[in-house]
Amino acid sequence: MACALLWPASPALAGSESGDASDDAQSFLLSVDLRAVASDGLPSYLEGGGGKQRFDDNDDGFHVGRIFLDYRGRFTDTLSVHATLNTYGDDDKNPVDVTEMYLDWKTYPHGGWRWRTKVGAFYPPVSLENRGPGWSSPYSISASAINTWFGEEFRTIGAEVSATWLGSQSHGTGDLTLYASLYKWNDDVGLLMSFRGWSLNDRQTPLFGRLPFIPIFFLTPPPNAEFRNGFEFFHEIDNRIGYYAGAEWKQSNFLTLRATHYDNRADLSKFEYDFAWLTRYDSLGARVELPRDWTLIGQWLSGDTAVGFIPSGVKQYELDMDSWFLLASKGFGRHRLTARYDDFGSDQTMGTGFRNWDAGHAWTFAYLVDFNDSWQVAVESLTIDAMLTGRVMLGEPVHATEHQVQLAVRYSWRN
Amino acid sequence: MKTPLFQAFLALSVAGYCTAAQALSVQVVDPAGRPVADVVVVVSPSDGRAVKTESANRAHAQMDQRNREFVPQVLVIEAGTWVDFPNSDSVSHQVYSFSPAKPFQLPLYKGSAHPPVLFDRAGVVTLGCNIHDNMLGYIYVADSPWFGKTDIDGRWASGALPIGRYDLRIWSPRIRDTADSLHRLIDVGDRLDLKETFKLDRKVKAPAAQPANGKPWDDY
Repeated sequence: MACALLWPASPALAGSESGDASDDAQSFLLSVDLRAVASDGLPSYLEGGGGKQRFDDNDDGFHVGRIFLDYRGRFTDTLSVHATLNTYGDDDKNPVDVTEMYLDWKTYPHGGWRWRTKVGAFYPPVSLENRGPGWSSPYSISASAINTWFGEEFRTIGAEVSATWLGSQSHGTGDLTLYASLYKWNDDVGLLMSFRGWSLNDRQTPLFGRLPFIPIFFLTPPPNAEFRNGFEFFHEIDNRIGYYAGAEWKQSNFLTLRATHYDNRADLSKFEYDFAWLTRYDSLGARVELPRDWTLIGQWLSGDTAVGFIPSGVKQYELDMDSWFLLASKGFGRHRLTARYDDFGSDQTMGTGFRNWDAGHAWTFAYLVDFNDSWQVAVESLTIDAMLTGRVMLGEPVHATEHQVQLAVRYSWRN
Repeated sequence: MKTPLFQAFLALSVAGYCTAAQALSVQVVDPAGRPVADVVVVVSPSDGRAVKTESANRAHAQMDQRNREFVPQVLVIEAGTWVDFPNSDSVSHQVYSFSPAKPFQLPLYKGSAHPPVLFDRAGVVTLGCNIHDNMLGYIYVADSPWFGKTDIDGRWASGALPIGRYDLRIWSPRIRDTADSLHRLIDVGDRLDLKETFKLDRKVKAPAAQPANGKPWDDY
């Protein structure tokens, strides 16, 4: 009995006791995700192919899914820093690189309003899926097509200010947030979308990362076009500031609605190793969380991207893109089942030569189980049924149905 | 949570009341007649005279933080009570309120002391956490020593009440009825069985789902 009193009864208790012993001004999360993969996909875009999946039929076997370190440090009650370091084991340019790093200043509410300012590099608030540590999805391994695009090509490198009216506190209704951002260094967004089209995967391009060029030729670039050596996304080319603005309505844990308009305001006449891609979108999203641990998420996005002839700036290429998905997920204690349907497509509405566009849909089924706070196993089946006209240039079938099954074993360590 | 016996003791210790006393039982039901639990019930003298018990200034109550929720979600205390916020979670919280009855900010970091908070003005204090927006809690600060919350059968019974006229109020964040129908005057006299039933006109809000179940998920 004395022993029972002296010794912590459970790991959770032990964690909280050791937490009591030290200040928690700094928190670390180290997550290691190892995969077993089976795929019949076309050569992956990560190999310069036209396949839409991270792993192709040469990748069957074991891989590093992702290793990341998520750090949060608190300077004061309201000012903190957040950074995420990653490695994917996919022959990336930098073995370890940063996906997000920003200062977060979140005031205490005054008079029912709260201001929040983020400065640094972070994601625009579009995804309703990627709410896990390190911007992962707690519902599946691979993100939806829309949120995959955000992980690959978008980063706000600048500032975002939001004001939240805390109606849940003052009126028992919900919270209304208005947000707006000014940023630079995202003039390449649209590049990967124009070559490969939509994809579903779990990779996030780090700030200094690069993806292989996919040899589909539909543009008239100057001879010094850097993107032929690889796709990079976080450059400032035209010295113009881009913006996005939007609103969120949140009702406790029950309902989250979000709408965003984005425009990077790229100058089509500018070229500095790469085109300035003029990319705009509108997006809507809804997440409903019901009793019995049911979650439903739907997002829709419609946008376009364009580049110009250099130096005239006359538009030489334009691509419209649209996608939506519906996700249903149910938790059963430590177990979670998720099903998601994605629909996506792009349409090249202007161009001088070959037209590259895609259309397709995808089904994702995932099962995740948490053995304890540290160990998780996830299984996912992903089927992408799509066409990409540029595959002709790669000697690949334009239309393909690609299957990929992944088993992830994940260990996380928290301080 | 104060027991009826303790409340009876409180009631008897209040100076200036005659010793004749009677218990009051209250039930709250929804439009379909189903009991509504966790509803705050407060009985206070209708003439507005302050009923201060000596014990109130020394009283401590607790509003814990567990799995990123306030526990209990609704705490009812008498004005003059100190409330401890122990934070049983392994993560930090930053509790705040901007309610007129008690605006305050209280960081609950691991390893650093956080003092109790004195609630000395009557009213509803809505609690939030500046780190976890989904956390929502309420402290109902009563101006009377006779208070409690309905049980799973929607019932609450007072201790012995001295003879007199009282204002009987009920409150819950889940109730949508207008304030007018949530209080009434009652006379505590010689009748033996004093029972009051509040039948709500509007459906109560469902308790908030907690699908994240304490998991470290962000809003983004």
